Amino acid sequence: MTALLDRPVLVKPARPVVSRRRWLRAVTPLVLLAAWEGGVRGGLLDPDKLPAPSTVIATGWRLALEGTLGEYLLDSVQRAVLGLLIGGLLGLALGTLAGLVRLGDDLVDPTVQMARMLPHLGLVPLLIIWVGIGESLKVTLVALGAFFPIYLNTFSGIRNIDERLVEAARTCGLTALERVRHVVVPGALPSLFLGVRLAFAAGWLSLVVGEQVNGQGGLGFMMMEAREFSQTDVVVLGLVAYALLGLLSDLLLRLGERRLLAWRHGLRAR
Amino acid sequence: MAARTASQVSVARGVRRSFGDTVVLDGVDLTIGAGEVVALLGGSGSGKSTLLRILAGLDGEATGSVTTTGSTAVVFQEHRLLPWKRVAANVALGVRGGSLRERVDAALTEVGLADRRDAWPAELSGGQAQRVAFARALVREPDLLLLDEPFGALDALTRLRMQVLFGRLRATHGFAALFVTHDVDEALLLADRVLVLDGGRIAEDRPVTLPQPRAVDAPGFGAERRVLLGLLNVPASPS
Ligand SMILES: Nc1ncnc2c1ncn2[C@@H]1O[C@H](COP(=O)(O)OP(=O)(O)O)[C@@H](O)[C@H]1O
Ligand SMILES: [Mg+2]
Repeated sequence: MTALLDRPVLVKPARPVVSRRRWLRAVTPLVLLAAWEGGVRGGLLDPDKLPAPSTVIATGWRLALEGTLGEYLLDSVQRAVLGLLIGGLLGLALGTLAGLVRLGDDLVDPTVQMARMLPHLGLVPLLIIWVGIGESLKVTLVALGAFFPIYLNTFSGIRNIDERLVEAARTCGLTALERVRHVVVPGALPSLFLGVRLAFAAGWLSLVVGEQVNGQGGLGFMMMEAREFSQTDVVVLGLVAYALLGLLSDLLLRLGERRLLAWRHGLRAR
Repeated sequence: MAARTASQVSVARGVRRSFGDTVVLDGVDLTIGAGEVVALLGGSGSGKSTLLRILAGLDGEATGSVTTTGSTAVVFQEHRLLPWKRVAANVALGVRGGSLRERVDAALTEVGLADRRDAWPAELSGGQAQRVAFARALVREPDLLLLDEPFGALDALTRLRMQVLFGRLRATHGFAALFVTHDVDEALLLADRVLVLDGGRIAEDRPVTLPQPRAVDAPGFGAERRVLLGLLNVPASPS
């Protein structure tokens, strides 16, 4: 102990550790990208099987200028938004009903829990018979994918609210409706956000599957058509576009979360 | 005694409550006068919280009669602030009427937290959060304050400060209070009267006649303390 005290204590100046770490995160993807590019140029990879990133970017630029990329992108986004809205709102409504009202719980929850066991992507053949291969198929698939996570997380979000807070709100003179507004909704919001995140993921996946089924427009159609003409660069471009859309939706969600759930990271937000 | 007069803020008669086969309250009678602070003592699980919830109108399954005159506010052992509302919004919760901001700020000033009005509950210490819970009760200007071990979760020093704060608030506002505690000293320091809940009934109703200002080392305090501990079946400390 005394030996330690003999030495002067070195106090390191504070350094922005976090921002340095951020940069480190980008290293691995960049190295992989460079290796991919180098692999194609060096002849290690067959450009017909996997075109170089630069080729994919060039193709993307060309299709964007032609306007086709934007058109297909818009098709896909429209289907996703419509499906998420329909499935999400339905999940929200039924989840709220089952979470708040005992009768709703009895009537809705067991059925939904059973239906959840059905892999909804396996419904494609049946859905084709029911609604055909057009827009309704894609939108229905996305809606189905989005419904379950939103329903489940709305339900559990409401159920897991601290009963003591509801009781305290009652002693403050809040009516039932006011308690829903001031306690139940904000209390269930974190869980709902989780549901939306899962719904986005399930929705994208459903869209990808739905767009592989014959039809017109959308990124999936673009990819399937490109495959027939062996335009591997367009196929990869489609994948990249899907990934970027997923990334963008996640970003938007995070933004919303930061605003609406500020109280959770209160210490940092102020 | 049975007749209710204007000077009584809460009267309970023959209150019974059971959970399944377990009878927790078996005919509780109590009266709280206007401006009177009544401490409710009792062993753990004796039904103190159950009784308080009934008086607060939070228990729909109790039988017997409870009459409360005027407004009531509750402070629980945990602060029970809504984590998604800032301090001021928590205090203002459910308060109606004009000049809300001024009233909220006045209540926060009284508990010494005017500068934390825009903080989130998560940013407060345990003692601060409980003071906000007091401000939330005060802003309603209650005739009766129901307190369920309000300092039970606080450390010893904070608890002493809160007891002083409670005495000051009571002097300013003149509210009546039912103060549930398991701390005999706290009951003797703050209350005008002590009730002991035992076997589902009020087993003892004892006025505290110690002179103000009270202190644990004032003459007579120790003797009174021993009496109450005896009523709570706590053996006298070895000496
Ligand atoms: N909601 C409940 N369901 C079942 N038993 C309960 C419930 N609330 C309280 N009790 C029982 O009632 C008794 C009294 O509880 P409580 O009023 O919390 O005691 P105290 O506050 O005096 O410690 C305990 O035995 C407890 O187990
Ligand atoms: Mg209790």
